Amino acid sequence: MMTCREFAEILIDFVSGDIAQDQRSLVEEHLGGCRHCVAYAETYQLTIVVVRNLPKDALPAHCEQRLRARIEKELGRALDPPDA
Amino acid sequence: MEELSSVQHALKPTVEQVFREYAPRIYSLALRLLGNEADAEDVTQEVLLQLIRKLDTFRGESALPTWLHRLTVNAALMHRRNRATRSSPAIREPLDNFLENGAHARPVHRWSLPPDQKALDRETRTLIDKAIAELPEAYRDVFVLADVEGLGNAEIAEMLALSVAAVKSRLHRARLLMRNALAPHFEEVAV
Repeated sequence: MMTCREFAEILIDFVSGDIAQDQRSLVEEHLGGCRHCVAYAETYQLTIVVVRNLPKDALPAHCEQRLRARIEKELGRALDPPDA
Repeated sequence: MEELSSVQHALKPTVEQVFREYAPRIYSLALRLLGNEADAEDVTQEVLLQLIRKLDTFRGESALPTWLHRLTVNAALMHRRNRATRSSPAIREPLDNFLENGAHARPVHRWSLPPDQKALDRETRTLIDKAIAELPEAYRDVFVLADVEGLGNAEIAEMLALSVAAVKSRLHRARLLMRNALAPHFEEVAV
């Protein structure tokens, strides 16, 4: 009989489908009788989904201005003009 | 050969193009690894200057290439090492939230998310970034590279000089901590 904690320990393999066959039946049996673990697995997976959707290219305007100035100072010249 | 060289010259990005293409991505990654704007700016400047100085050998690519991830991660880790005065939060063990008999210590509720999960509002994005910033550094590095940047465990292991098993273990713990941190925001109200 698998406990909730034991299930939590192998969640990473469960959500990636990388779970051993002998554990799969134990997991299925556990999930069949534990709504908390069903919700736990679902929300673990949702955590991955929402984080993957975070923007990966945010540069606030005030940081961009400072960075441009710092790089121009290091290079000793202004950055090239944008594409014509 | 002359034709080829003129094509290569035409394809060579300008400093401005490199800045516009890569500064936001390098900065975002550095900010999530380091947790504050000033450090992220330092790292972005350092990485961009390295890129600009190697423009002659640079080939523009639309995705953030692995080598640029590596360059940014190395610069961020070095930066962190050099500012030893700031301490990282103590490591929290997410699997402590269970009773002695192995059951959940408190009820687990489902989450209510917008149908289009990509449309996270600003408040939610800020909340998620705050939760990432509060992860212990050892977990945060792996989590950001795996779940935000989408790198594989083997690549991350190489970048951080860890075993693949250690990457997987840290990633799992980071996800559990993130799940626990986000749960109060997303949980459905019990009827």
